[in-house]
Amino acid sequence: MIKEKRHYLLVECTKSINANAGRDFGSALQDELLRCIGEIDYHVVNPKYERSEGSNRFIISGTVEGMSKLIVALAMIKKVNGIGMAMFTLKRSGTVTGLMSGAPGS
Amino acid sequence: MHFYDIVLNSCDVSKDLTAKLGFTSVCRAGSDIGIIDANAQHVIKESIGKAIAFGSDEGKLSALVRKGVAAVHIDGYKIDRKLMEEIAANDCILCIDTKSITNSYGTRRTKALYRASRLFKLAKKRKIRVSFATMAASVDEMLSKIQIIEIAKLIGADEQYARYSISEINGYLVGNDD
Repeated sequence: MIKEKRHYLLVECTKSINANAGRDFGSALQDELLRCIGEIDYHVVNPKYERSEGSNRFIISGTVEGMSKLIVALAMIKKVNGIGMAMFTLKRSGTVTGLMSGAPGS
Repeated sequence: MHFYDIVLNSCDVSKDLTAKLGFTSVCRAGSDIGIIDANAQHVIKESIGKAIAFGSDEGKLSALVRKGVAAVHIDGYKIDRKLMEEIAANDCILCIDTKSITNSYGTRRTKALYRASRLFKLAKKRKIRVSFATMAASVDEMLSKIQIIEIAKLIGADEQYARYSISEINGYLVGNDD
């Protein structure tokens, strides 16, 4: 089986994502991504909410081919779980370790 | 490479957030750089310094371009070929903001995307410099450097031009043209 290449994004929200209910935020975020990206391209992007990092940051992964669409979709989403928020994509990396090292924005 | 963003005067961005988003500095249109409302009634007779003209009236925008305004932002991305020729002849910069795309929904967003991509295509054909900026009115409307580059690519720019736009062209507008 050929393993698809995935990249990871570190995303910061302007509001708290409630780390205790991380799964609810993750599935609500994937619903919003489905609405933004569309059913036709969703399988190309194949986004997966990995985990939260603190109260207002999280890591999300997607295929290399669909990364541009994922970054644009995250810029366009302004409400998740009924809470209005903006999302800033701080960093992109091929590994989670690479994502967490160095300063965000580099 | 240094990257710059342009926001409206009402957007207060801290230095921490500026660095996090990947920018060297965020310039406020209205305080760091002049802003002119082209739809205003009065006629400006004196010469204009480095400023961005906002408006939808093609005639008034053309007059401001001839007076030497640094950049023009066309509301609603309406295409007027004569205005585009004036912008090209006077080496003016065309501003395309990402706020109109990220802050709308449904068919309004798709229309904004379509018009922005057509405007960019025409600007590229006329060799007009295009500035991509958020023009955010609040922190919630801001984007990171990575996001602006991807939205510019969605509109029709390639990666190299998108980076050039938010570093060199925006750098020129904010006064860091070294």
